[in-house]
Amino acid sequence: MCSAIPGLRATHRYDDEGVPTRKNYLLRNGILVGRMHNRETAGALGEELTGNGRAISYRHTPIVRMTNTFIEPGSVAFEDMIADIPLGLYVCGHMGGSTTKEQFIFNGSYGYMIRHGKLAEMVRTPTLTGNVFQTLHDIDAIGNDQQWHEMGFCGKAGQRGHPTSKGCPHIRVRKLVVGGR
Amino acid sequence: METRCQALLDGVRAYETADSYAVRIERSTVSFEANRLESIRSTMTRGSGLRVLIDERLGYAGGTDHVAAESLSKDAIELARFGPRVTGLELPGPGATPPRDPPRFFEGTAELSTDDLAERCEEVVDRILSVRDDVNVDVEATRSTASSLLANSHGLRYASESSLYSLGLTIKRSHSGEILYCSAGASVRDHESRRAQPEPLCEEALAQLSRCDKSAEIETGDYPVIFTGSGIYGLLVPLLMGLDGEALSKGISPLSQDRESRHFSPGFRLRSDPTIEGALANRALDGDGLALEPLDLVAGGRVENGLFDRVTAAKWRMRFPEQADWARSGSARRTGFGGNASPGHATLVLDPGSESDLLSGVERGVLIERLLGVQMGNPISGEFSNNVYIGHLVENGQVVGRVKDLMVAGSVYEALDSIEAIGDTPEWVGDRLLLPPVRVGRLRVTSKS
Repeated sequence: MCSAIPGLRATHRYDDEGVPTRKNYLLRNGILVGRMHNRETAGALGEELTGNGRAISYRHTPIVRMTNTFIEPGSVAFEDMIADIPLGLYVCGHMGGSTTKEQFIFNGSYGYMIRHGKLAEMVRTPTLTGNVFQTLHDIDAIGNDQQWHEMGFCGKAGQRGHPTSKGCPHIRVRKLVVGGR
Repeated sequence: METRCQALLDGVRAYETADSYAVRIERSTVSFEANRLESIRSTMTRGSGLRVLIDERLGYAGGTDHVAAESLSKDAIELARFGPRVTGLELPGPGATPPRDPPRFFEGTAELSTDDLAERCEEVVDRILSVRDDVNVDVEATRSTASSLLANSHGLRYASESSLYSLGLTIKRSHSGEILYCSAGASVRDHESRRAQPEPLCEEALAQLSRCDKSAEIETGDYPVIFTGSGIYGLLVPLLMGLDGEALSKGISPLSQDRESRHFSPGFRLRSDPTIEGALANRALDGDGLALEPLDLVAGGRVENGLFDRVTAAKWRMRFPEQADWARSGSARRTGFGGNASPGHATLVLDPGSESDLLSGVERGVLIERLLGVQMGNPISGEFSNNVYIGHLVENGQVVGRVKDLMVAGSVYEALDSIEAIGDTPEWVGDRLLLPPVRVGRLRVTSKS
């Protein structure tokens, strides 16, 4: 997570508690290595400030919020990523999502079936669900590309609408529950 | 507020149709997180809004009372050039007798201190932790008072005063990679109301938690599904979006054109009711100043009415002149001064049925208490596909255990036309929904198994 990448929606030099922002690794090589903090939570856990204290307006106190969140690119080309999949789903974009921290659900904007290593017919708004931790564990390939998604907001504790952005290369997950009739 | 509303109307007196709305809200909230006091917040908000119809276009401007009335009036006039086109918009006059609200203001509730709120929160935490030592508890208690005045260019004056007390709790259990939230809450006008007391709310959340203690698995397939009141709300969201006057009048609701062909199970009666005892939605007039009355939305297996305010009803008449009489206004809601009135229901009531036990006779099925992802995707089409956040396997009429990593999917319109039974005991879901459990014949359930 980084608030210093020029031009992104959640880029700023200082957070709303006057703490300089910085690049924070949350997960690295599959291991939890960092957390997001405001002054309160950093103090409570005795950890370094990370510059994630954000308030949506003067009516609210700064709380821990994300900024520009991204997965760093890996080394796998997209064509290689799908080449050995006999039957799968290629999900593009997203239309909202919801989580209870353990379970999650989100709609892809659209998608394609993958058949015998090739993109096949288009499918309408696929819905995916699963366990957050299991799904991250089930990532078995990370693409060598990266796209930024400059839409979206972060909201909790009555504070809606913090602008955020997120970036991600193509990733492959071994198994997920796909909804629909 | 009278002075402010009149000043706003004076600023647009050159125009025939205008109304102004002023509101003052004082709110105190005490929050406990992870069993401890986290914050005490108090806010006061005063603001007003003005809408005016100029050359059949609607302008709206709103702001806090720091914005001069003349400035808001100018903004509303200017914005009308770019506002939606509305023909035939009429606002109500003062009526023969002044509007009179049902009881909405309780002195004792208005006088609750933050210490009182903190005591309630502590009581919740102590009660939960005395039963379960493997959980954390978040609690929030809020007390607020609100005064409002709606005035229009036809002489209507509608003043309203209310108190509000809310108590909500979430039990959080985290172990072995599982994070489970079990919640209960209530908002009432009178803080002494039974359903907002710590005891019944704690019992409700604890019962939900204990039902999740055992786990079970289910295979992908078509099963009978029993929804609790909270669960069935997930299916009602797409229907309500289809019944919204804005969607109907724009022609984007599936019910705009072919509502005659939509059929619902005979016992399924859904209505908007402003007369439910103790409900937050009870008041004399809607956000346009029209008398609030009970309204059947679905009854006798068919769509009876949509939810229209005066503006969307006028838009409906413009777009569907051959069905002009169908749009019945009187469902305008105002949620503050930041935006215009829009369609909304009073207390949404699904009429209870006669069954006391919807699990009885179910050989193998799913009981759904809460769905995750409601309103995602393209719900207005009626298609749904949701994660079953809190659901249970039912075998031979008994709950066996919690099922996870599960999705339920289908068409809302097909599901509500295949209701097998409706329970006889409705429950409050949030502040504005009174819903009994419902059993649907068959729905597609997709699991990881």
